[in-house]
Amino acid sequence: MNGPVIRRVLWELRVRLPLITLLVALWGFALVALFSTADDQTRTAGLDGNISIAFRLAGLDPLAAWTVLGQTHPILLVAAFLFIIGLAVRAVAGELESGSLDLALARPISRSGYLGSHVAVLVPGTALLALAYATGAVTADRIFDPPGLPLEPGRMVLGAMQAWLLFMAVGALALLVSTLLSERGRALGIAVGITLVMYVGNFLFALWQPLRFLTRFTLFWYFTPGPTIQNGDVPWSNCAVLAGFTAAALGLAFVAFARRDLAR
Amino acid sequence: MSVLEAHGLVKRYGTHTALDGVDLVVPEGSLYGFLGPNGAGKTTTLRVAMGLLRGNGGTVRVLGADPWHDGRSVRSRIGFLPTDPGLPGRMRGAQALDYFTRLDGHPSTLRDAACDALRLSDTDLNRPIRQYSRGMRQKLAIVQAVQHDPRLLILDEPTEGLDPLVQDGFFTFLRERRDSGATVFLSSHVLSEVEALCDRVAIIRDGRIVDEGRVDDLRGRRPKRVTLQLSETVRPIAIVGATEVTQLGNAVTFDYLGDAGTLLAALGLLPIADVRIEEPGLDEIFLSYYRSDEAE
Repeated sequence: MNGPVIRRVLWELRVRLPLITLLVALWGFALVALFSTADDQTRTAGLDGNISIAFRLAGLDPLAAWTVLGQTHPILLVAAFLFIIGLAVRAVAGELESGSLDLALARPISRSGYLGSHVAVLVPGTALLALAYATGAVTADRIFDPPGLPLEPGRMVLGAMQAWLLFMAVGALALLVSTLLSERGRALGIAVGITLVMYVGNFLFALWQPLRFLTRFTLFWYFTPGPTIQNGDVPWSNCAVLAGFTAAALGLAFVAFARRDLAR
Repeated sequence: MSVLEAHGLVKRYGTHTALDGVDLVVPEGSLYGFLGPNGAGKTTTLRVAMGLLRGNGGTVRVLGADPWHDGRSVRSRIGFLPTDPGLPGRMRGAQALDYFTRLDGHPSTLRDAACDALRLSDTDLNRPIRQYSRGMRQKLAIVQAVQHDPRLLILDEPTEGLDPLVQDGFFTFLRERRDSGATVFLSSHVLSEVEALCDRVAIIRDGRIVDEGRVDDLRGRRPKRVTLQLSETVRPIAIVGATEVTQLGNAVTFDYLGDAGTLLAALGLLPIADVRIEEPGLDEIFLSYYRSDEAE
Protein backbone atom coordinates (compact mmCIF):
# COMPACT_ATOMS: atom_id res chain seq x y z
CA MET A 1 0.00 0.00 0.00
CA ASN A 2 1.09 3.53 -0.66
CA GLY A 3 0.10 6.45 1.56
CA PRO A 4 0.10 9.19 -1.08
CA VAL A 5 -2.04 7.09 -3.45
CA ILE A 6 -4.53 6.33 -0.65
CA ARG A 7 -4.71 10.01 0.29
CA ARG A 8 -5.19 11.03 -3.34
CA VAL A 9 -8.04 8.54 -3.89
CA LEU A 10 -9.70 9.66 -0.64
CA TRP A 11 -9.26 13.30 -1.66
CA GLU A 12 -10.98 12.59 -4.97
CA LEU A 13 -13.83 10.93 -3.04
CA ARG A 14 -14.12 13.80 -0.56
CA VAL A 15 -17.56 14.75 -1.88
CA ARG A 16 -18.91 11.53 -3.35
CA LEU A 17 -18.20 9.21 -0.41
CA PRO A 18 -19.81 11.42 2.28
CA LEU A 19 -22.71 12.13 -0.07
CA ILE A 20 -23.50 8.49 -0.87
CA THR A 21 -23.00 7.57 2.80
CA LEU A 22 -25.46 10.29 3.82
CA LEU A 23 -27.98 9.17 1.20
CA VAL A 24 -27.78 5.55 2.36
CA ALA A 25 -28.17 6.66 6.00
CA LEU A 26 -31.15 8.80 5.02
CA TRP A 27 -32.66 5.81 3.24
CA GLY A 28 -32.47 3.76 6.45
CA PHE A 29 -33.76 6.68 8.50
CA ALA A 30 -36.63 7.44 6.11
CA LEU A 31 -37.80 3.84 5.93
CA VAL A 32 -38.12 3.52 9.72
CA ALA A 33 -39.70 6.98 9.94
CA LEU A 34 -42.19 5.95 7.25
CA PHE A 35 -42.95 2.72 9.10
CA SER A 36 -43.61 4.66 12.28
CA THR A 37 -45.75 7.29 10.60
CA ALA A 38 -47.79 4.82 8.55
CA ASP A 39 -48.52 2.71 11.60
CA ASP A 40 -49.41 5.80 13.66
CA GLN A 41 -52.03 6.87 11.13
CA THR A 42 -53.72 3.48 11.01
CA ARG A 43 -53.53 3.10 14.81
CA THR A 44 -55.31 6.42 15.38
CA ALA A 45 -58.16 4.92 13.37
CA GLY A 46 -58.31 2.11 15.97
CA LEU A 47 -56.56 -0.40 13.70
CA ASP A 48 -53.25 -2.17 13.91
CA GLY A 49 -50.67 -0.73 11.50
CA ASN A 50 -51.07 -1.92 7.90
CA ILE A 51 -47.40 -2.71 7.54
CA SER A 52 -47.32 -4.51 10.85
CA ILE A 53 -50.32 -6.64 9.94
CA ALA A 54 -48.70 -7.77 6.73
CA PHE A 55 -45.48 -8.85 8.41
CA ARG A 56 -47.17 -10.41 11.42
CA LEU A 57 -49.20 -12.57 9.07
CA ALA A 58 -45.88 -13.85 7.75
CA GLY A 59 -44.71 -14.53 11.31
CA LEU A 60 -42.09 -11.79 11.25
CA ASP A 61 -41.21 -8.97 13.61
CA PRO A 62 -42.69 -6.07 11.60
CA LEU A 63 -40.00 -3.41 12.09
CA ALA A 64 -37.11 -5.84 11.66
CA ALA A 65 -38.66 -7.27 8.49
CA TRP A 66 -39.29 -3.77 7.16
CA THR A 67 -35.66 -2.90 7.82
CA VAL A 68 -34.47 -6.04 6.00
CA LEU A 69 -36.65 -5.08 3.06
CA GLY A 70 -34.94 -1.70 2.96
CA GLN A 71 -31.49 -3.25 3.13
CA THR A 72 -32.12 -5.57 0.19
CA HIS A 73 -34.11 -3.01 -1.82
CA PRO A 74 -32.91 -2.36 -5.39
CA ILE A 75 -32.74 1.40 -4.76
CA LEU A 76 -30.14 0.95 -2.03
CA LEU A 77 -28.26 -1.73 -3.94
CA VAL A 78 -28.15 0.22 -7.20
CA ALA A 79 -26.86 3.35 -5.45
CA ALA A 80 -24.23 1.42 -3.52
CA PHE A 81 -23.11 -0.70 -6.48
CA LEU A 82 -22.80 2.23 -8.84
CA PHE A 83 -20.50 3.93 -6.35
CA ILE A 84 -18.50 0.79 -5.59
CA ILE A 85 -18.17 -0.41 -9.19
CA GLY A 86 -17.27 3.09 -10.34
CA LEU A 87 -14.53 3.28 -7.72
CA ALA A 88 -13.12 -0.15 -8.55
CA VAL A 89 -13.26 0.28 -12.32
CA ARG A 90 -11.43 3.56 -12.11
CA ALA A 91 -8.56 2.03 -10.13
CA VAL A 92 -6.82 0.46 -13.13
CA ALA A 93 -8.81 0.63 -16.39
CA GLY A 94 -9.91 4.22 -15.73
CA GLU A 95 -6.48 5.45 -14.71
CA LEU A 96 -4.79 3.59 -17.55
CA GLU A 97 -7.16 5.15 -20.06
CA SER A 98 -6.70 8.64 -18.64
CA GLY A 99 -2.92 8.27 -18.50
CA SER A 100 -2.57 8.86 -14.77
CA LEU A 101 -1.51 5.26 -14.13
CA ASP A 102 1.65 5.84 -16.20
CA LEU A 103 2.63 8.76 -13.98
CA ALA A 104 2.04 6.82 -10.77
CA LEU A 105 3.83 3.64 -11.86
CA ALA A 106 6.81 5.65 -13.13
CA ARG A 107 7.53 6.14 -9.43
CA PRO A 108 9.10 3.69 -6.97
CA ILE A 109 5.75 2.00 -6.34
CA SER A 110 5.05 -1.67 -6.95
CA ARG A 111 1.93 -2.62 -8.85
CA SER A 112 0.69 -4.61 -5.87
CA GLY A 113 1.27 -1.56 -3.68
CA TYR A 114 -0.69 0.59 -6.08
CA LEU A 115 -3.61 -1.84 -6.30
CA GLY A 116 -3.43 -2.43 -2.55
CA SER A 117 -3.92 1.30 -2.04
CA HIS A 118 -7.18 1.17 -3.95
CA VAL A 119 -8.28 -1.89 -1.97
CA ALA A 120 -7.38 0.00 1.20
CA VAL A 121 -9.92 2.65 0.21
CA LEU A 122 -12.52 0.16 -1.03
CA VAL A 123 -12.61 -1.82 2.24
CA PRO A 124 -13.51 1.03 4.64
CA GLY A 125 -15.57 2.79 1.95
CA THR A 126 -17.89 -0.20 1.53
CA ALA A 127 -17.99 -0.73 5.30
CA LEU A 128 -19.06 2.87 5.75
CA LEU A 129 -21.91 2.41 3.26
CA ALA A 130 -23.08 -0.77 4.95
CA LEU A 131 -22.98 0.80 8.41
CA ALA A 132 -24.69 3.98 7.18
CA TYR A 133 -27.93 2.14 6.53
CA ALA A 134 -27.90 0.51 9.96
CA THR A 135 -27.05 3.82 11.63
CA GLY A 136 -29.88 5.64 9.85
CA ALA A 137 -32.41 2.95 10.70
CA VAL A 138 -31.43 2.68 14.38
CA THR A 139 -31.37 6.48 14.76
CA ALA A 140 -34.90 6.77 13.38
CA ASP A 141 -36.01 3.90 15.62
CA ARG A 142 -34.72 5.78 18.68
CA ILE A 143 -36.32 9.07 17.59
CA PHE A 144 -39.75 7.83 16.46
CA ASP A 145 -39.97 4.81 18.76
CA PRO A 146 -42.41 2.84 16.58
CA PRO A 147 -44.61 0.21 18.27
CA GLY A 148 -43.31 -3.32 18.71
CA LEU A 149 -39.81 -4.52 19.42
CA PRO A 150 -37.05 -1.94 18.91
CA LEU A 151 -34.24 -2.57 16.45
CA GLU A 152 -31.27 -4.17 18.15
CA PRO A 153 -28.07 -2.31 17.20
CA GLY A 154 -25.99 -5.47 17.54
CA ARG A 155 -28.14 -7.34 15.04
CA MET A 156 -28.14 -4.33 12.72
CA VAL A 157 -24.34 -4.28 12.79
CA LEU A 158 -24.25 -7.98 11.95
CA GLY A 159 -26.69 -7.31 9.10
CA ALA A 160 -24.43 -4.47 7.97
CA MET A 161 -21.50 -6.88 8.02
CA GLN A 162 -23.32 -9.08 5.49
CA ALA A 163 -24.08 -6.06 3.30
CA TRP A 164 -20.41 -5.13 3.55
CA LEU A 165 -19.39 -8.64 2.43
CA LEU A 166 -21.72 -8.35 -0.57
CA PHE A 167 -20.42 -4.88 -1.40
CA MET A 168 -16.82 -6.10 -1.15
CA ALA A 169 -17.58 -9.13 -3.35
CA VAL A 170 -19.03 -6.89 -6.08
CA GLY A 171 -16.17 -4.40 -5.60
CA ALA A 172 -13.58 -7.16 -5.91
CA LEU A 173 -15.27 -8.46 -9.06
CA ALA A 174 -15.23 -4.96 -10.57
CA LEU A 175 -11.59 -4.52 -9.55
CA LEU A 176 -10.70 -7.79 -11.28
CA VAL A 177 -12.47 -6.65 -14.46
CA SER A 178 -10.65 -3.32 -14.17
CA THR A 179 -7.24 -5.00 -13.97
CA LEU A 180 -7.97 -7.02 -17.11
CA LEU A 181 -9.10 -4.16 -19.35
CA SER A 182 -7.77 -0.83 -20.56
CA GLU A 183 -10.95 1.14 -21.20
CA ARG A 184 -13.03 2.47 -18.35
CA GLY A 185 -16.34 2.33 -20.23
CA ARG A 186 -15.87 -1.28 -21.26
CA ALA A 187 -14.84 -2.33 -17.76
CA LEU A 188 -17.81 -0.47 -16.28
CA GLY A 189 -20.20 -2.10 -18.72
CA ILE A 190 -18.92 -5.60 -18.05
CA ALA A 191 -18.85 -5.19 -14.24
CA VAL A 192 -22.35 -3.67 -14.16
CA GLY A 193 -23.59 -6.33 -16.59
CA ILE A 194 -22.31 -9.23 -14.51
CA THR A 195 -23.77 -7.74 -11.32
CA LEU A 196 -27.12 -7.10 -13.00
CA VAL A 197 -27.30 -10.63 -14.43
CA MET A 198 -26.56 -12.06 -10.98
CA TYR A 199 -29.19 -9.84 -9.31
CA VAL A 200 -31.94 -10.56 -11.84
CA GLY A 201 -30.89 -14.19 -12.14
CA ASN A 202 -31.23 -14.68 -8.39
CA PHE A 203 -34.97 -13.93 -8.74
CA LEU A 204 -35.67 -15.47 -12.13
CA PHE A 205 -33.84 -18.74 -11.57
CA ALA A 206 -35.73 -19.20 -8.32
CA LEU A 207 -39.04 -19.11 -10.20
CA TRP A 208 -38.41 -22.28 -12.19
CA GLN A 209 -37.42 -25.48 -10.45
CA PRO A 210 -35.04 -26.85 -13.15
CA LEU A 211 -32.98 -23.64 -13.03
CA ARG A 212 -33.21 -23.03 -9.31
CA PHE A 213 -29.74 -24.50 -8.71
CA LEU A 214 -28.32 -21.58 -10.70
CA THR A 215 -29.26 -19.14 -7.93
CA ARG A 216 -26.31 -20.55 -5.99
CA PHE A 217 -24.03 -19.13 -8.66
CA THR A 218 -25.11 -15.58 -7.93
CA LEU A 219 -23.60 -13.54 -5.11
CA PHE A 220 -27.05 -12.36 -4.05
CA TRP A 221 -28.14 -15.86 -3.05
CA TYR A 222 -25.61 -15.62 -0.22
CA PHE A 223 -26.83 -12.23 0.97
CA THR A 224 -29.39 -13.13 3.63
CA PRO A 225 -29.52 -10.49 6.36
CA GLY A 226 -33.14 -11.38 7.26
CA PRO A 227 -32.52 -14.03 9.94
CA THR A 228 -29.78 -11.87 11.47
CA ILE A 229 -31.86 -8.70 11.88
CA GLN A 230 -34.94 -10.72 12.87
CA ASN A 231 -33.40 -13.20 15.30
CA GLY A 232 -29.68 -12.53 15.52
CA ASP A 233 -28.85 -15.71 13.55
CA VAL A 234 -25.87 -15.13 11.31
CA PRO A 235 -25.63 -17.44 8.26
CA TRP A 236 -21.88 -17.87 8.61
CA SER A 237 -21.60 -20.26 5.66
CA ASN A 238 -23.07 -17.60 3.36
CA CYS A 239 -20.70 -15.03 4.82
CA ALA A 240 -17.81 -17.40 4.19
CA VAL A 241 -18.82 -17.81 0.53
CA LEU A 242 -18.95 -14.02 0.03
CA ALA A 243 -15.63 -13.55 1.83
CA GLY A 244 -14.06 -16.42 -0.14
CA PHE A 245 -15.27 -14.97 -3.43
CA THR A 246 -13.86 -11.57 -2.47
CA ALA A 247 -10.50 -13.05 -1.52
CA ALA A 248 -10.31 -15.07 -4.74
CA ALA A 249 -11.31 -12.13 -6.96
CA LEU A 250 -8.81 -9.82 -5.23
CA GLY A 251 -6.09 -12.46 -5.49
CA LEU A 252 -6.72 -12.85 -9.21
CA ALA A 253 -6.78 -9.07 -9.63
CA PHE A 254 -3.36 -8.74 -7.97
CA VAL A 255 -1.90 -11.54 -10.13
CA ALA A 256 -3.44 -10.17 -13.35
CA PHE A 257 -2.29 -6.62 -12.65
CA ALA A 258 1.25 -7.67 -11.82
CA ARG A 259 1.58 -9.59 -15.08
CA ARG A 260 -0.24 -7.47 -17.58
CA ASP A 261 1.10 -5.05 -20.15
CA LEU A 262 0.04 -1.46 -19.62
CA ALA A 263 -0.31 -0.45 -23.25
CA ARG A 264 -2.10 2.68 -24.38
CA MET B 1 29.02 3.70 -19.04
CA SER B 2 25.45 3.31 -20.27
CA VAL B 3 22.25 4.06 -18.38
CA LEU B 4 19.94 2.27 -20.76
CA GLU B 5 20.75 -0.80 -22.81
CA ALA B 6 18.56 -2.94 -25.00
CA HIS B 7 19.78 -5.96 -26.89
CA GLY B 8 17.61 -7.82 -29.36
CA LEU B 9 14.50 -6.38 -27.73
CA VAL B 10 11.30 -7.85 -29.16
CA LYS B 11 7.76 -6.79 -28.35
CA ARG B 12 4.67 -8.24 -29.98
CA TYR B 13 1.03 -7.23 -29.65
CA GLY B 14 -0.75 -10.36 -30.80
CA THR B 15 0.45 -10.98 -34.34
CA HIS B 16 1.86 -7.45 -34.75
CA THR B 17 5.57 -7.10 -34.01
CA ALA B 18 6.15 -3.63 -32.59
CA LEU B 19 9.83 -4.12 -31.74
CA ASP B 20 11.83 -6.52 -33.83
CA GLY B 21 15.24 -6.87 -32.19
CA VAL B 22 16.01 -3.36 -30.98
CA ASP B 23 19.63 -2.76 -30.00
CA LEU B 24 20.23 0.48 -28.15
CA VAL B 25 22.89 1.84 -25.81
CA VAL B 26 22.30 5.23 -24.21
CA PRO B 27 25.55 6.57 -22.71
CA GLU B 28 25.50 8.27 -19.34
CA GLY B 29 25.52 12.05 -19.49
CA SER B 30 24.21 12.27 -23.03
CA LEU B 31 21.29 13.96 -24.69
CA TYR B 32 20.01 11.07 -26.75
CA GLY B 33 17.35 11.46 -29.41
CA PHE B 34 15.14 8.62 -30.48
CA LEU B 35 13.73 9.31 -33.92
CA GLY B 36 10.98 7.70 -35.87
CA PRO B 37 7.58 8.39 -37.32
CA ASN B 38 4.37 7.46 -35.55
CA GLY B 39 4.06 3.71 -35.13
CA ALA B 40 7.77 2.98 -35.59
CA GLY B 41 8.18 1.66 -32.03
CA LYS B 42 9.44 4.66 -30.06
CA THR B 43 6.74 4.70 -27.40
CA THR B 44 6.80 0.91 -27.06
CA THR B 45 10.56 1.02 -26.45
CA LEU B 46 10.17 3.72 -23.81
CA ARG B 47 7.32 1.87 -22.08
CA VAL B 48 9.35 -1.34 -21.97
CA ALA B 49 12.22 0.68 -20.46
CA MET B 50 9.82 1.96 -17.79
CA GLY B 51 8.54 -1.52 -16.96
CA LEU B 52 5.02 -0.70 -18.16
CA LEU B 53 5.33 -3.29 -20.92
CA ARG B 54 7.12 -6.61 -20.84
CA GLY B 55 9.37 -7.52 -23.75
CA ASN B 56 8.81 -10.85 -25.52
CA GLY B 57 12.49 -11.35 -26.24
CA GLY B 58 15.92 -9.85 -25.77
CA THR B 59 17.07 -7.89 -22.76
CA VAL B 60 16.71 -4.37 -21.48
CA ARG B 61 18.47 -2.81 -18.52
CA VAL B 62 17.88 0.65 -17.12
CA LEU B 63 20.38 2.01 -14.57
CA GLY B 64 21.63 -1.55 -14.30
CA ALA B 65 18.27 -3.09 -13.42
CA ASP B 66 15.72 -5.10 -15.35
CA PRO B 67 12.79 -2.65 -15.47
CA TRP B 68 10.14 -5.39 -15.43
CA HIS B 69 11.45 -7.31 -12.43
CA ASP B 70 13.49 -4.77 -10.48
CA GLY B 71 12.21 -1.48 -11.85
CA ARG B 72 10.91 -0.24 -8.53
CA SER B 73 14.44 -0.04 -7.14
CA VAL B 74 15.61 2.37 -9.84
CA ARG B 75 12.48 4.33 -10.68
CA SER B 76 13.18 6.90 -7.98
CA ARG B 77 16.17 7.94 -10.10
CA ILE B 78 14.16 8.19 -13.32
CA GLY B 79 11.91 10.97 -14.53
CA PHE B 80 9.30 9.85 -17.05
CA LEU B 81 7.08 11.85 -19.36
CA PRO B 82 4.61 9.62 -21.24
CA THR B 83 2.56 10.65 -24.24
CA ASP B 84 -0.79 12.15 -23.21
CA PRO B 85 0.02 12.20 -19.51
CA GLY B 86 -3.06 11.99 -17.32
CA LEU B 87 -2.74 14.68 -14.69
CA PRO B 88 -5.32 14.74 -11.89
CA GLY B 89 -7.69 17.34 -13.32
CA ARG B 90 -9.42 18.20 -10.05
CA MET B 91 -6.15 19.14 -8.38
CA ARG B 92 -4.37 22.44 -8.70
CA GLY B 93 -1.03 22.36 -10.48
CA ALA B 94 1.06 22.79 -7.32
CA GLN B 95 -1.06 20.22 -5.50
CA ALA B 96 -0.41 17.66 -8.25
CA LEU B 97 3.32 18.35 -8.14
CA ASP B 98 3.28 17.85 -4.35
CA TYR B 99 1.49 14.54 -4.87
CA PHE B 100 4.15 13.35 -7.33
CA THR B 101 6.89 14.51 -4.95
CA ARG B 102 5.40 12.34 -2.21
CA LEU B 103 5.29 9.41 -4.63
CA ASP B 104 8.92 10.00 -5.64
CA GLY B 105 10.08 10.09 -2.06
CA HIS B 106 12.62 12.77 -3.01
CA PRO B 107 12.47 16.53 -2.48
CA SER B 108 11.50 18.52 -5.56
CA THR B 109 14.77 20.43 -5.76
CA LEU B 110 14.37 21.35 -9.43
CA ARG B 111 10.74 22.42 -9.42
CA ASP B 112 11.38 26.15 -9.40
CA ALA B 113 14.10 25.95 -12.06
CA ALA B 114 11.91 23.80 -14.31
CA CYS B 115 8.90 26.10 -13.84
CA ASP B 116 11.07 29.10 -14.72
CA ALA B 117 12.44 27.39 -17.82
CA LEU B 118 8.93 26.45 -18.95
CA ARG B 119 7.39 29.80 -17.96
CA LEU B 120 4.97 28.23 -15.53
CA SER B 121 4.07 30.88 -12.97
CA ASP B 122 2.78 30.55 -9.41
CA THR B 123 -0.56 31.82 -10.67
CA ASP B 124 -0.66 28.97 -13.19
CA LEU B 125 0.26 26.45 -10.50
CA ASN B 126 -2.59 27.65 -8.29
CA ARG B 127 -5.23 27.01 -10.93
CA PRO B 128 -7.11 23.69 -11.25
CA ILE B 129 -5.51 21.51 -13.91
CA ARG B 130 -8.83 21.00 -15.70
CA GLN B 131 -8.65 24.69 -16.65
CA TYR B 132 -5.22 24.27 -18.25
CA SER B 133 -4.62 24.48 -21.99
CA ARG B 134 -2.86 21.59 -23.72
CA GLY B 135 0.47 23.39 -23.62
CA MET B 136 0.08 24.15 -19.90
CA ARG B 137 -0.66 20.51 -19.17
CA GLN B 138 2.44 19.49 -21.09
CA LYS B 139 4.54 21.97 -19.11
CA LEU B 140 3.21 20.62 -15.82
CA ALA B 141 3.80 17.04 -16.99
CA ILE B 142 7.41 17.93 -17.82
CA VAL B 143 7.89 19.52 -14.38
CA GLN B 144 6.58 16.38 -12.63
CA ALA B 145 9.15 14.36 -14.58
CA VAL B 146 12.15 16.54 -13.76
CA GLN B 147 11.40 18.15 -10.38
CA HIS B 148 13.11 15.46 -8.28
CA ASP B 149 16.41 15.84 -10.19
CA PRO B 150 16.45 12.33 -11.69
CA ARG B 151 19.62 10.75 -13.01
CA LEU B 152 17.83 9.59 -16.15
CA LEU B 153 15.06 11.44 -17.95
CA ILE B 154 12.89 9.45 -20.33
CA LEU B 155 10.70 11.83 -22.31
CA ASP B 156 8.20 10.75 -24.93
CA GLU B 157 7.54 13.55 -27.42
CA PRO B 158 8.27 16.24 -24.80
CA THR B 159 7.76 19.29 -27.04
CA GLU B 160 4.20 18.39 -28.06
CA GLY B 161 2.10 21.47 -27.43
CA LEU B 162 4.99 23.77 -26.42
CA ASP B 163 5.38 27.06 -28.24
CA PRO B 164 8.83 27.86 -29.76
CA LEU B 165 9.76 30.32 -27.02
CA VAL B 166 9.08 27.80 -24.27
CA GLN B 167 10.83 25.08 -26.29
CA ASP B 168 13.96 27.19 -26.31
CA GLY B 169 13.96 27.54 -22.52
CA PHE B 170 13.20 23.86 -22.15
CA PHE B 171 16.12 22.87 -24.38
CA THR B 172 18.45 25.08 -22.33
CA PHE B 173 17.17 23.41 -19.18
CA LEU B 174 17.83 19.94 -20.67
CA ARG B 175 21.35 20.93 -21.69
CA GLU B 176 21.98 22.10 -18.12
CA ARG B 177 20.73 18.76 -16.82
CA ARG B 178 23.07 16.98 -19.21
CA ASP B 179 25.97 19.20 -18.12
CA SER B 180 25.28 18.36 -14.48
CA GLY B 181 25.61 14.65 -15.26
CA ALA B 182 22.04 13.56 -15.95
CA THR B 183 21.10 11.62 -19.06
CA VAL B 184 18.21 12.66 -21.27
CA PHE B 185 16.60 10.08 -23.56
CA LEU B 186 13.86 11.63 -25.61
CA SER B 187 11.74 10.45 -28.47
CA SER B 188 10.55 12.72 -31.21
CA HIS B 189 9.41 12.85 -34.77
CA VAL B 190 10.44 16.51 -35.07
CA LEU B 191 13.87 16.23 -36.67
CA SER B 192 14.93 19.85 -36.29
CA GLU B 193 14.54 19.80 -32.50
CA VAL B 194 16.51 16.58 -32.15
CA GLU B 195 19.24 17.96 -34.41
CA ALA B 196 19.39 21.17 -32.36
CA LEU B 197 19.42 19.42 -29.02
CA CYS B 198 20.87 15.94 -29.08
CA ASP B 199 24.43 14.61 -29.02
CA ARG B 200 23.46 11.19 -30.28
CA VAL B 201 20.47 9.79 -32.09
CA ALA B 202 18.98 6.45 -32.97
CA ILE B 203 16.57 6.10 -35.86
CA ILE B 204 13.91 3.43 -35.56
CA ARG B 205 11.91 2.06 -38.45
CA ASP B 206 9.35 -0.73 -38.22
CA GLY B 207 10.64 -1.77 -34.81
CA ARG B 208 14.30 -1.89 -35.80
CA ILE B 209 17.16 0.55 -35.24
CA VAL B 210 18.35 1.49 -38.72
CA ASP B 211 21.04 3.96 -37.71
CA GLU B 212 22.64 5.14 -34.50
CA GLY B 213 25.49 7.37 -33.48
CA ARG B 214 26.62 10.94 -32.91
CA VAL B 215 24.74 13.41 -35.06
CA ASP B 216 28.01 14.50 -36.71
CA ASP B 217 29.00 10.91 -37.44
CA LEU B 218 25.62 10.24 -38.97
CA ARG B 219 26.09 13.23 -41.23
CA GLY B 220 29.56 11.96 -42.17
CA ARG B 221 28.13 8.64 -43.24
CA ARG B 222 25.75 10.27 -45.69
CA PRO B 223 26.70 11.99 -49.01
CA LYS B 224 27.53 15.68 -48.96
CA ARG B 225 25.70 17.90 -51.41
CA VAL B 226 28.18 19.68 -53.73
CA THR B 227 27.13 22.66 -55.87
CA LEU B 228 29.57 24.09 -58.41
CA GLN B 229 29.40 27.21 -60.51
CA LEU B 230 31.90 26.85 -63.37
CA SER B 231 33.55 29.78 -65.14
CA GLU B 232 33.20 28.00 -68.50
CA THR B 233 31.20 25.15 -69.91
CA VAL B 234 32.98 21.81 -69.77
CA ARG B 235 32.07 18.34 -70.96
CA PRO B 236 30.12 16.21 -68.45
CA ILE B 237 32.28 15.74 -65.37
CA ALA B 238 33.08 12.39 -63.74
CA ILE B 239 34.30 12.28 -60.13
CA VAL B 240 34.73 8.99 -58.29
CA GLY B 241 32.19 8.88 -55.46
CA ALA B 242 29.82 11.38 -57.06
CA THR B 243 26.21 10.38 -57.57
CA GLU B 244 23.01 12.10 -58.61
CA VAL B 245 25.02 14.39 -60.93
CA THR B 246 23.05 17.20 -62.55
CA GLN B 247 24.75 19.56 -65.01
CA LEU B 248 22.85 22.49 -66.45
CA GLY B 249 25.14 24.80 -68.39
CA ASN B 250 27.79 26.04 -65.98
CA ALA B 251 25.90 24.85 -62.88
CA VAL B 252 26.71 21.38 -61.55
CA THR B 253 25.29 19.63 -58.49
CA PHE B 254 26.04 16.16 -57.18
CA ASP B 255 26.11 14.08 -54.00
CA TYR B 256 29.53 13.00 -52.83
CA LEU B 257 30.48 10.25 -50.40
CA GLY B 258 34.17 9.65 -49.97
CA ASP B 259 37.49 11.17 -49.06
CA ALA B 260 37.56 15.00 -48.95
CA GLY B 261 41.08 15.10 -50.43
CA THR B 262 40.01 13.14 -53.48
CA LEU B 263 37.09 15.52 -53.99
CA LEU B 264 39.27 18.62 -53.67
CA ALA B 265 41.84 17.15 -56.08
CA ALA B 266 39.11 16.45 -58.63
CA LEU B 267 37.63 19.94 -58.20
CA GLY B 268 41.11 21.46 -58.71
CA LEU B 269 41.02 20.25 -62.31
CA LEU B 270 37.82 22.17 -63.04
CA PRO B 271 37.37 25.90 -63.88
CA ILE B 272 35.46 26.71 -60.70
CA ALA B 273 33.94 30.15 -60.11
CA ASP B 274 32.12 29.18 -56.90
CA VAL B 275 31.65 26.05 -54.79
CA ARG B 276 29.33 25.05 -51.94
CA ILE B 277 29.66 21.79 -49.99
CA GLU B 278 26.79 21.06 -47.60
CA GLU B 279 26.52 18.47 -44.83
CA PRO B 280 23.27 16.54 -45.01
CA GLY B 281 20.72 17.60 -42.39
CA LEU B 282 19.25 15.08 -39.97
CA ASP B 283 16.02 15.36 -41.89
CA GLU B 284 17.73 14.17 -45.06
CA ILE B 285 19.38 11.29 -43.23
CA PHE B 286 16.08 10.35 -41.67
CA LEU B 287 14.11 10.64 -44.87
CA SER B 288 16.66 8.56 -46.77
CA TYR B 289 15.68 5.56 -44.67
CA TYR B 290 12.03 6.12 -45.26
CA ARG B 291 12.41 6.81 -48.97
CA SER B 292 14.25 3.50 -49.34
CA ASP B 293 11.42 1.86 -47.42
CA GLU B 294 8.87 3.29 -49.85
CA ALA B 295 11.02 2.23 -52.81
CA GLU B 296 11.02 -1.34 -51.50
